[in-house]
Amino acid sequence: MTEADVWNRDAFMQGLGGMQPYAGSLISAYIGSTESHLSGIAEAWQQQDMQRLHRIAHALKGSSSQMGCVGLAALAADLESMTQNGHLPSSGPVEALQQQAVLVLDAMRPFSA
Amino acid sequence: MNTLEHILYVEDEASIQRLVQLSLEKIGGYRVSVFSSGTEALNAVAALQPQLIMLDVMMPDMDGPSILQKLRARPETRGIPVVFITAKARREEIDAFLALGAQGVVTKPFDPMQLPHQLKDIWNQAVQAG
Repeated sequence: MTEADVWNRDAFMQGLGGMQPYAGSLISAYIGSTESHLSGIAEAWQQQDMQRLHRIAHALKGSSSQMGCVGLAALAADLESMTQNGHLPSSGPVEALQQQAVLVLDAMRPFSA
Repeated sequence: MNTLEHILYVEDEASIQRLVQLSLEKIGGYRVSVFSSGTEALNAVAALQPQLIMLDVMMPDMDGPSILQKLRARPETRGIPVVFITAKARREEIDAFLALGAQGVVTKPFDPMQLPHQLKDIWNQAVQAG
């Protein structure tokens, strides 16, 4: 996986256009909500609450695609799709998402406001 | 009022909420009333009387389609144009949202520089359609 797959900062900044001065606060908001989603995912997996997993995966897909985190958005989309029918056979997709999210947050933190 | 000035926006995802609010206020110059849940928004909407409402689709408390249904059931909010914002971007999903009575659908990821213009276009069309 390339650096741009983790977080394509150039694409994110370019997409902001005239809103680039607010990049730091947007990154900060994303880090905060993603950390909260990661706690929610861990809790939901532990409780086997597939509906909650599905909902969080959907939210993470939307915010990650908006922020230029292509890899994490794809993993969240996978998890969203797999939990659609209320069943997830193994922890693999959850763990893959958690590992990717750690990479994303590490890449973003230096740019947070 | 024949220009769009005030938008009510409901979104539970903090980063998207911040981005949309900044886009609409700083780029569009609109006044934006932001809520994190449908319940809060429904309690406030009659007093605020926004000209346009934008709803996230999937939220834990009450989803966008349920909020739309409640808005349409009240005489004081029935006529306010509603736009959904969603990461559910398949054509059939978008058609389903429009069939519920929304005037437009914005898909994530969206261009924050274009969002105010998109909403203005949707609002203008809704106003012209009466």
